[in-house]
Formats: sequence, C-alpha cells, structure tokens
Amino acid sequence: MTEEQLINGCIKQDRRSQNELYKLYFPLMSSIALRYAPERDEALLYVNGGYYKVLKSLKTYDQKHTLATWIRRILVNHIIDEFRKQQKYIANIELAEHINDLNSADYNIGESHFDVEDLRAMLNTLPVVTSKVFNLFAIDGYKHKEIAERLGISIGTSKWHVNEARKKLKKQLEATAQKEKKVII
Amino acid sequence: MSKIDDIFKKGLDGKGMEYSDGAWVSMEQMLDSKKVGFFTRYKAYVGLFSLLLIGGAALWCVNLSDEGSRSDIVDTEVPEDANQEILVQDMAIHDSVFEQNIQLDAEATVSNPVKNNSISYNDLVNKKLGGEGFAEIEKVTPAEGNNKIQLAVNDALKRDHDLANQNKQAGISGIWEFAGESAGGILDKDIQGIELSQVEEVKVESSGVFHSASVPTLTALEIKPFVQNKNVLTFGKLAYLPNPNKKILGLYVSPFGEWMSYEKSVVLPISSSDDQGNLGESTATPTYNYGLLLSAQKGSWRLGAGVGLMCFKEATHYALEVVHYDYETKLTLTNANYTTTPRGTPVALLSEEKIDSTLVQNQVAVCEGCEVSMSYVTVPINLQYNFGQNRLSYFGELGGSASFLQKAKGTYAVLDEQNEVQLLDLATTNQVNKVLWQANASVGARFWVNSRLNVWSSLGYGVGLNSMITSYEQKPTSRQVRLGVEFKLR
Repeated sequence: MTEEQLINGCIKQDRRSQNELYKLYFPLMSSIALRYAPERDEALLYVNGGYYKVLKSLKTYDQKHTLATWIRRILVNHIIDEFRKQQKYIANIELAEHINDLNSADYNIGESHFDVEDLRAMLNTLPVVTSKVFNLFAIDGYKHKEIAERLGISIGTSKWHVNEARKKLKKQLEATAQKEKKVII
Repeated sequence: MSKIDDIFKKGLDGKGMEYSDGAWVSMEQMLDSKKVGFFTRYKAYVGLFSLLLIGGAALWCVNLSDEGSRSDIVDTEVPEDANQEILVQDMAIHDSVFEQNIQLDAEATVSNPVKNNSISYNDLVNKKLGGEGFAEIEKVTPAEGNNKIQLAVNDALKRDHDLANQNKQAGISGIWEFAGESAGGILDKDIQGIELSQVEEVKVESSGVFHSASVPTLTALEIKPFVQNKNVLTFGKLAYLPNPNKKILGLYVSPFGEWMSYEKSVVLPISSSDDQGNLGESTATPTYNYGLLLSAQKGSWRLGAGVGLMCFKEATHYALEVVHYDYETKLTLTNANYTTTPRGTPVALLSEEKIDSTLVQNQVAVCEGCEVSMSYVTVPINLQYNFGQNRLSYFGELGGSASFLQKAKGTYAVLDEQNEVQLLDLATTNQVNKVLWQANASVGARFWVNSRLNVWSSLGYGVGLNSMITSYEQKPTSRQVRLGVEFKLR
C-alpha cells in the first residue's frame, strides 16, 4: 500500500490502514515521545494521543511537508498541550540579557560516544519544564518565540531553561566522558 | 547550534521503540472509546458521594421507621369502662415523640405494636369512641408559640367498614388545646387529661352521596411524659431535647463544605538568609474543600471523626538579586617585538586591560506567577462540647487531623544548602512531606430544622505541627469556615 492509499484508508476510518500507518510511524513517534516522557508507558500514551489527533486531522494534511514532518509536528504539539494541561502554571523566569549563552562554549566531549539510554537518562534528570524546553529547542527545532507562545512563558524564560539544560547536561556529559576515558586507559 | 544540542539531537532523534501489538491494542481502545464526559471522569467521586448520601438518608429513614413502629414508644390502652376516654401511656419516652406518627387503632388499644399507615378499625373502637365513627390520630406535634398540642386526625371519619376506602378524600384535622403550664399541664409528671373540645361537622363522600357526621368527641387524653426538668421543658423545645431516661449515644453523619485560607510560617535553614532579598513573597490562595464527618454524642460531648479532601494552594514569587561587574577594557601594547613568524613577520603582544568597572545589580524574579497546590486526604478527629439544647445551639471544638499527601503539582522555589534558589517540580520531588499533622480549634452554631436534621456552620483555626516541605520548616496555619448538613442517625 502506498502512503497515499494509507492516508485515504485512514480518512475512511479503515482500521487496517490505520494500523499500517501506526506501524509505519511508530518508531518515529515513540522516539519523540520518549524524549518527553521518562516512562515508556507515559510515552506510549503520548504516542497514542498524538496518533489519534493525526487520524482526526488527516483530512487537513496538504502534503506541503512530508507526512513524517507533519506527524512529528502534531505529536509535539499534542505533547505540549498535554504538558500544559498538567502544569497550569509554568515557572516564568525573567533573566537579564547579559546572562551568558552557552552556544559558543566549547566542550571537549565531541569524540565521546553516548548511548541512547544514557542520553535519555540525562534528559530525565532535568527539571520537567527545563527538559521540555530543551527538547523543543535543541532537538525539535522550535524557536524560543514559538516555545514561549506554546508554553505561555516569556522568551527569556525559554532561553533560561535551555541554558540551564545545557549547563546541567554538560556536567553529565563530561562526567560520562571521563568515565569512558578511564575505562579506555 | 550548540554541540550539546547536536549530541542529543543525533543521539536521540529517531531512536524509538519497536512496534508492538500491545501498543496497537491500547490505540484501538482509544479509537473505540467515546469522548469522556464529566460524569465518567468524576464517576468515582460522584459514586462515593452518592453512596454516602443515600446511605445516610437510608439509615435515617430506617431509624425513623423503627422508632415509629416500636411498641415501646406508643403503648395504648383503653380502659374497659371508659367509652369516651383513650389513655396514652408512656407516650413521650423518646425525645422525638412529637414527630412520630401515632395511630390509635384497634390493635393499639390492646397493646399490640402499632402498624403505621394501616387503616384498622373495628366495632370495639367504634364503640369506645361513640357516635357514628371514630378518628385515628395521625400525628402529634407541638404547636408553635404556646403551650398547645396539635393532634392531626387521620384522613377520614370512618363511619363503617364499607365506607372506609371511599373516605380517603374526606378528612379533618383539629387543634385541641390542653391546659397550659400554669394549670398544671404537660409539665407535670402526672399529667392532667387533655380536653379535646373541638367538634366539627364534616362531610363524607360516599358514592356521590354526602353524609354528615360529627367528629367523635374525645373527652380526655392522658399523656405521661418522661420526667423532665420543669425549668427547661416547654413545648417549643421538647422535640429537640435529649431523652434523659435513655442513655444512648446519638449518632450523626454530616457532609460539609469548607472555605480555607492559609498562611505559612517559614523558618529558613541556618545557612540561609533573606538579608539580600533571596527569599521573596508567596501568597496563599483560598481553597474549597469538602468531607464527611461521623460523630457520636453523649450528653453535651460529642466525639467526631471523618474524612475530607483538603488542598493548599500558593502563588509563589521569589526574587533573586544578581550582582556582577561590567568591565571597560582597552588594548595596550605590551611587547612590540614579541615574536616573529616563520615567514619573518614580527608579532607584537597586546594585552587587554581593565580601565573601569561598573557594579551591575539585577533583580531576577523567579517563579513569578507560579502556583503550587498540594492535595491531601485528611482524617480529622475532634471533641466537641455543645452549649444549650434549643433549636439553635452552639458548640466549641478541639481536635487534630492527619493529612495524607495525594498529589502535589506546580513549581516551587526553595533555597538549598548553598543558599541558592532551586526550582522544585512538586510532581516529581520527594521534598514534600507525605503526612501533615495539624491541630484545630473551632466554634460554631447548629440550627435544627427538625429533630433529625440540622445545618451547622463553624469558624476554625488550624496550626500545622510539621513542615509541608522538607527543605526547610514551613508550617501552615489555616483559617476555615465550614458549612454542613447533619443527619441524626439515632
């Protein structure tokens, strides 16, 4: 079945097509969800909730973007919505402009190899909001302005969370890299 | 893009789970399920509340019914030779006797248990009452405002057996006055007879034919109430007085709602200080709670316990003072002949020197607009003393409660050991105490709608005995206004 046939089948609420599309995009959707949810069960809830919205919105899919990109966008939006439901108020931290951005910082960890599970574990150690903002910015490519609008926080707060995340992740990456070096030696 | 971002993007993007049939099963369930409505979402709470309400009401009704049918409450006896006299003995041995249905019928006259709502009549009754019919006394209630007793006569003047069912529409009720206190009325232990003086003519419809008949004249009704204190007994209060002859525990159940506001007393750790404005303001938000209380009363003392849902809400606002120096620098030639490149280009050494500095102070608002909430299931226990036995009575109460943390959410700013503000996500942190102990005191008033039902309100003050947050001592003090409805179970 082609992707177009699958989409048409899903629009007609054909359960087999829905299953096929689910199978096809499950790895992608679960990879996104796992970054936002520490537990697999929670991630699966995100995946299913997001896929439900995908099915509901398939009629509006205009093929300007690839289906994968479109699904990714819907899923991330769904996760943000769910997160906002859970967290009515999100810390709003106004930071002065002078606070250093860590973009330009150079960490000597580039050669190290990091396991997927290690990276997920590191993300999970971050405070919930910080982790979400970092995910949105660094991995899903949202702009600070978009994040601020979606989460109802200021742009400064979004930046602060990203910086906080980088600081904390940097420490963890370095620690992990050090361990690796010792093992190699 | 930062290198760190890159590591995580490359490391995590696209690294998902393998498809499993189990995942699809749960997806299918979601697709099959309908939109969840309010009732479905809260069905557990609605169910529990309904169960408690229905259970309480059922107990109340059962108890009421039991009392109405207990032969020891109304024990009637008709003297053999007293054709126009009914004796009601030991009528008022229960505190709520004047709320009961009292039927004087054939079975009652021979000391059998009274059957509620039964239409029972026979020649004996007819004969004793005299005249063409007889009356059943349906209800005895104290009339308001004076020493009168109201006897509601059941729905028919029954002339004979055949007409009984057709007489449903006809009916009379009369008010019979009896001698008041000054005349040695019901306040005396040995009560004088009550003269039933009202006589009315009523029309009884039977197959379209109207018959006239007189209400049987009951010339005397003797009531022997339990011994009461003369000074407090009046009819207006009688239904609400405890029965001194029966030392039984009164049992009550009461659903209540509560408005609560709280403050917290904060004791910072030794290493912390708010001298520099490190700790800002937080404002507690009033909450609405509810619960159910069960209590047992003996005399004026009442011991109560129950369960309730309690929530603390707080809008937090912490301020950080960030101080740093901005430096103005200029480049200075330190060594004009520092070195030479391999191609022979001379290299000079320049150094950047500070020529001025500015102290910059910034106020950083942390968690502005944050709200945290901590939900508890609370189990209160309290001892209450009741003042007065009037329809409107008052009480004072002392007690305590153990509140078990159910859910905490929101972002909370606390100071850590290094005196730095840390944002705690209450949903995941373990720095919230699981059990909160509180001591409470309150005063209130209770208004009896009838002998089984009252509404009450109280104003209370609570003091937390332990801290809500483990990071530093933060004990809540709360003010509560409660409003409840109380059913008397027995």
